Amino acid sequence: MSALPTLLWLEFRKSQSFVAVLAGILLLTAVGLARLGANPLNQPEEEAIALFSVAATVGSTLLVVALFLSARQDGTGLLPSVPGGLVHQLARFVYWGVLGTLFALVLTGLLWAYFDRVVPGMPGLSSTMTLLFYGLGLFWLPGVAYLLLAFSYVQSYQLSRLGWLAGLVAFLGFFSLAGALVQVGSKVAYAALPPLTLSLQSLNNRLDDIRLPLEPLLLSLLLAVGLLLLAGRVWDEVEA
Amino acid sequence: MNFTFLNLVGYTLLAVVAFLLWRGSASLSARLVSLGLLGLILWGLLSGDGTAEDSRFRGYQEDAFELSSRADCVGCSTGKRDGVWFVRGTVLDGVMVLKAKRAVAYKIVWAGGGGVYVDGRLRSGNCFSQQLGPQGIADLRLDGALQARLEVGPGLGCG
Repeated sequence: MSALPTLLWLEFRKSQSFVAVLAGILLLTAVGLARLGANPLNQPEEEAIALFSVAATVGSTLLVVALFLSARQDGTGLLPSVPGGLVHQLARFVYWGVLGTLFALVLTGLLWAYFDRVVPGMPGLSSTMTLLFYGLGLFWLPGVAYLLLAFSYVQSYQLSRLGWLAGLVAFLGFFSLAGALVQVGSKVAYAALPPLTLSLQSLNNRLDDIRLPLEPLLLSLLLAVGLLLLAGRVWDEVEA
Repeated sequence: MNFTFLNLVGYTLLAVVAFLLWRGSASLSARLVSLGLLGLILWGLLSGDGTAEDSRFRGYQEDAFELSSRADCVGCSTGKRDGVWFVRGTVLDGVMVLKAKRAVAYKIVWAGGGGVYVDGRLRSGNCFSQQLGPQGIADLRLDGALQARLEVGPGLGCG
């Protein structure tokens, strides 16, 4: 496990320029939110939401592209001993999971700060962050684990030149897996655990509370761990 | 399993891809991942009926009753069994109005979600049933109900 910090550092070295671009997007969003004014066609709140969704879309696309590019190059020749596949995959998973979380955290924080200023009775930062971490655990972490597994999986077909076919199967399988996860998740939702409840009463007392079921979140996290273990095994077998 | 020409082509392609991908890698885990992903894709082929998916449920009409709907219904299916008509969905969300022409009963069962409102009142529990007289009207609002099922027919009740 002592190789983990070095591997994290290598991941950072490979994606430095992307980190700079992401920080630039956050900076632009902050400046944009600070300079929002009223205009005859739009409410400033709507413009803030639009700015947020553009930044989130561009940022998450860039994150996935950066993950693609950095997974293709390998800088581990610098290490004195070769660590196991699981350590490699874990380092990538931690790095990209944390990077995506940081980006989403700052972006949501910016939007929340704006709305806290202009909307009376905005729910507190803690419930916004609960919603954010729920979404990240539900989508981002299993997504990263699936991407890592898909890379190693496609790599294992390099010798037989069937990488294109494996890539196609991994691409199509992603949607089937997501569909299966939605099916199972909705079956187990609210079954055993009490849901996380976020109150919107301070905003408008006619709004219902948001009740987030915990079972699908647990399912997603379990799936992420399973995919990561599998990715580690594939890595080992490809390198061997 | 469907055995139309296009489906047979699909199954054959999947089988060929499974063979190629099993032969193509030296790594056992990667082979198993191949099989797992192909299995998921096959499951996706089998569970869809091949038509384009539309998540909106637009209502239903027969001699005894009329159901008008503007509800979204994800993973939707409808049918009739033993004289009882039903619509069920992984998620049912929206407004439906049930108008009885003759006396019928209806029943809504759901697993969880935002809530089920009948005639504007939130109903608790996971089941609600009601008898409608001729020309009776029930106003149903399903607020993101999960694994929900609405049945209309004679003699339905919870319990």
